[in-house]
Amino acid sequence: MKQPLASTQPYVPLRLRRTQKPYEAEIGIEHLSFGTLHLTSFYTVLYSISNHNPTCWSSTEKFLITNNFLCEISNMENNGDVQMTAEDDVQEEEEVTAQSVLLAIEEAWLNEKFAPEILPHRSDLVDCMLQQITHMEENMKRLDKEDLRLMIHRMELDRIKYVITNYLRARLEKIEKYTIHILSQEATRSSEECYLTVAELQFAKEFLANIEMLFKTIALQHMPGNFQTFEVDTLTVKPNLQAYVFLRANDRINGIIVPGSMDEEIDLEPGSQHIIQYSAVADLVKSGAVKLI
Amino acid sequence: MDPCEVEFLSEKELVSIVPNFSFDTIHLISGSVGPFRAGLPVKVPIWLAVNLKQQQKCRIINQDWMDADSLNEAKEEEKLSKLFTKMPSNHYMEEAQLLLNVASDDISDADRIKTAIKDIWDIRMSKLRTSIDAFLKSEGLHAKLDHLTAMEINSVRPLLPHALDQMLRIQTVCVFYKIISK
Repeated sequence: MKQPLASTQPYVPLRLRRTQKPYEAEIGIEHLSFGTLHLTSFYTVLYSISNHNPTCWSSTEKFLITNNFLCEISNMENNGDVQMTAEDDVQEEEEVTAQSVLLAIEEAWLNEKFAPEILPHRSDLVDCMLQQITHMEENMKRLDKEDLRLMIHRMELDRIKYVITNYLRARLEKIEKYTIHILSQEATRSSEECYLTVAELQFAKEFLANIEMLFKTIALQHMPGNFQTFEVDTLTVKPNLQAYVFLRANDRINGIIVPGSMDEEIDLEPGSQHIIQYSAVADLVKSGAVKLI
Repeated sequence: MDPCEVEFLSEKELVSIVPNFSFDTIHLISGSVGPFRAGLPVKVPIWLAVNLKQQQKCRIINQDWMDADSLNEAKEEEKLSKLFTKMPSNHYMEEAQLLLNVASDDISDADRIKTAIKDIWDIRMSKLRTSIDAFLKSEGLHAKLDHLTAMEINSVRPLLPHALDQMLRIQTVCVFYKIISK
């Protein structure tokens, strides 16, 4: 077994955070250079929630999230201003603790890590947690340098940031790998049930455009006329949905048909662990009835 | 997944410490810890315990199950059982490693505990290898993995799912050629 990381070493994300501002998670700047051609693709995911007034925070870890508060954040992402109607304000108040959001994010992280395909985004959780982090960092500024709490809070924040950035990065890796497939799937979904966030969708489109430009500039334009088209279909990479995954059941689930068998059915007990093809449990992963481990 | 990520997950587990300082409750995002009273045991996450120990601000108390005799019992049981027995913790290996590394002076019998844990790990891993071998030979499509801990699952992750994926590919190709040759 590897030497464990000493806990004094914070779990700081590696090629991340070029900015000083804590609430901006920058996901990477890549320079592709091929001979005379230089393509620079910037893809940043900025969660500009700094202007938002954290009304939901109370002094302990309990706080309220209203659904429209989350809408508000996504609206800010969409068009930079807040659209909120008065009726929405009272509807559907959901009380959650920071702890439960953190647990949900950790589960989303592991699911995303192990699932072969991209899962529906959980930007509600990410935004909420980033807000918590920002608030906590504000609080920490008021603490004395010698204070014991400062070190403890900082360590915890580093741990949480690691989970969030690793989650976002796992998604970006999948988007880069399956760009064309994801974009074509995404085109068939309505705006409520789409899997990508607005920023991720934009990234995917730009990534595809950059690849196309790269292909054209380097090779395609020098080809004979009938070979010059950029054939999207032949370049599509699809995730292997028949990949085997490890999972743990959260709820009791009856009668999952094992793919590849004649009509073998299995039942999952809560808490039991299994290995099975992803395609058999894909819907259960998305609904949260099972989690990947 | 990287083994240190499995360890990262295990560091959320709680452990008792006896602090040598007094402090009020600390409200962390992942839940509150404390209040700390010098000399009185309190439960904290392992990552915090390890850090406090490194600063010599506390003494770590053994996990209840980290006791040489009961571990040896578990070892015998594991030897006799054909199936995997339930482990006291889903992260027994990582927890033992972390705590024994940093606090071997607080834990009596550290060496015996270490040996017992290592023995259990070896028995379980060889059992795991045998059952994977049998599973692959029987061309199974699904397996139940109850009582396997996080580190054990992670240690077969590079091999088992990949082997099954490859078998599936071969089968698909075989079926394809059968159809063509007809």
